[in-house]
Amino acid sequence: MATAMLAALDDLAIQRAKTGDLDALERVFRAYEGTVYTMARRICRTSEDAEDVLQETFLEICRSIGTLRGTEPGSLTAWVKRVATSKALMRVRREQYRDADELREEDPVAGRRGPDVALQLDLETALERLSDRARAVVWLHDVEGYTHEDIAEMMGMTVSFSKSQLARAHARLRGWLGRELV
Amino acid sequence: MHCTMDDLLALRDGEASAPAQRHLAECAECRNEYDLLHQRVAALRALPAVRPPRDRWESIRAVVGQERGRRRGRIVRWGSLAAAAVAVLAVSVTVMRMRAPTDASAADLQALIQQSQQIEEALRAYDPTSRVLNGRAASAVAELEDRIALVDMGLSEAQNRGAARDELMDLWRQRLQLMDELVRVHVTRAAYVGL
Repeated sequence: MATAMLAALDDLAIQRAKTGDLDALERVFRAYEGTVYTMARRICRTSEDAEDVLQETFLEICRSIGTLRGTEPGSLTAWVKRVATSKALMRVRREQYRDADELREEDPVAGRRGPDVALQLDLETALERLSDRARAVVWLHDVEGYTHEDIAEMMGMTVSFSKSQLARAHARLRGWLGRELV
Repeated sequence: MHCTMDDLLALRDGEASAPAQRHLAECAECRNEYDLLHQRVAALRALPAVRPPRDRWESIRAVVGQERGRRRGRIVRWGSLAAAAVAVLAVSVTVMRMRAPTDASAADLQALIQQSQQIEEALRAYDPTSRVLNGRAASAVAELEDRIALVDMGLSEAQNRGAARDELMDLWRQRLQLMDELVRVHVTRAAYVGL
């Protein structure tokens, strides 16, 4: 996120956004659209899904920002990311009902370190190749900094399942990427 | 036996068993895998930000506008101008008193709700169709009604999920401030056209 955008979002702007001022809400959107879209794009399968998550996230923010406690940019950032994560995971769950998610991964290396293989993928391609749930867990835990307890709560699964998804995802990434991180 | 990926992640997160820690210290191959894990996570964090291909704000703004429009007719019926003038004083006093609360007691919350009800009653008898609004006043009234509708949505959502009293009071205070501004707009407009 651009530093200038964060600086522009002072307490007064957030207070105005909380009363429903559309100009102030647009400033909130401009400050966070990149952060929200990037997270959504990394978790969701397609750019169309990520765009939908972006729109659903900010509709929710426009409707509910009046209930946000405090006017500090830090609390707004945490709340925006939480709303966006929730919307992205809802999209992932919807996709899982639509098709057989687990069939997307092919090699059976769960729980073990993958061997060096001839197939070398770049990191973004490898990330996209993971199952939806594994990709979401890797991104939320290792990049966004959520705990396994947070992830389990948001995804409606157990902590041990979140941990096993993370190990499984890293084993696959290790196998696909080998020793090259491009 | 070498560390599994579960072992490596547990080592990274400070949750590994003593045997796994000892093995890592002694095994060059596992230390290499452990370094690779760190490099992989660093590379994930370094992936570039992605920009949305289209600007979504106008469509978001349009949806929000439609939702507010649907609610606008439900929020306020207007009281008489005299009642509105009285309400200005009542609201101003209330808002000043409630602006810096020291204790989120049930009585304070009830007082806010009662004040809101009194202002609603004072405004209810006013017939907006019998008055003429100038363009600026009409625009200001519409904007304030939109914002009150948004706060009402927030209040409804907060009450449905059993929000804390502090949060409800904050929303009621916002509503009273907005209604205060709304009444002031009408009084200013009335003075302007000599009513």
